[in-house]
Amino acid sequence: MEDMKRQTVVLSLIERLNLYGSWCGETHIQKSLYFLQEMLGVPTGYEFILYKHGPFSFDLKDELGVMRANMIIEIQSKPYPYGPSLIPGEAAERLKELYPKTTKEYGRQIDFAAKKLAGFRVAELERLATALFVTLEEDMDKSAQARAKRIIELKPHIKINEALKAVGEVNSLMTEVEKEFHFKKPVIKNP
Amino acid sequence: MLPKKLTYISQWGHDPARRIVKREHYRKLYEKNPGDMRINPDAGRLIYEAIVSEFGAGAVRRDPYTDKNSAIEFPVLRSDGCILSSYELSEIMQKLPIASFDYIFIRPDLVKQADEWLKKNRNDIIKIIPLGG
Repeated sequence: MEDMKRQTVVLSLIERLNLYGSWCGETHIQKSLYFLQEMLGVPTGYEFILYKHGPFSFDLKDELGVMRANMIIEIQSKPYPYGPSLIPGEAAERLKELYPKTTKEYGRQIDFAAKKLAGFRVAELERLATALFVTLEEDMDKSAQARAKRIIELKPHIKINEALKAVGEVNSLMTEVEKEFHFKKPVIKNP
Repeated sequence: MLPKKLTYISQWGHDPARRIVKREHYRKLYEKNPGDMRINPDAGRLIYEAIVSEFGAGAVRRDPYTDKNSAIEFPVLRSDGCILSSYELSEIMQKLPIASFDYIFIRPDLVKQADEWLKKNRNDIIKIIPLGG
């Protein structure tokens, strides 16, 4: 997907996250886009690595900077201790006019991801995204216990009950995605 | 007489070298500005491609740059002993503008002609036309 089309997808996601009441800070966008790309199959092509707070894409971080510089998004700063939010900028509508098909083509997936994830706080999103990361790992035993154990191995500050809950939530999301978009989900034992 | 390979290299580097020595460097024709960005966020690329198709690739150069590391973050020691991120503590740090530019340069003998041409066609070039995607 070319750069400006990817930016159209990111912009639509930001708009939808704001619409569904998300704080819409950078972490919310990072994690929601991870779900959008890896679970809902939108081919944005960002490379995600497991970083300090779960899956993170430096490419996406750079892209958000470019979008800010091009007035597609802007920062709404908040007083301490709240982090800033990202909102559509002055050139946002123009970008959507340039790529109307992209906005339409992935609209359902974007809406689904935003609706399901908008209500989560940063720490919850970290656990959920890490649970998805673990689920998608190759050669991973897909049982809930094994995945929860792997989450704790990667992120020792996460408690076992929180890890199990995150795995359960990822399973439910995958089932919903499969039903709504007819995607094949990874084989999960004892979900 | 220079060997064949050296002759080739000297010919290849002659034009830029001459331009430096004789101050015949390419001159600035266009730079990114908020007015054009509001009309079309892809204005820089569109203008560059239009100028290339009018005057030829050899006559035009583009130098775009956007700073990738936009957040200026450093630890701040507060009077209560807590160490916090400058980015979290300061609304101004969060909103610092990103260094970003996009320049288009043209061969010096074409400056006047290209400037007139761009003034005449700029609005049409950056007009929003829905793309295939």
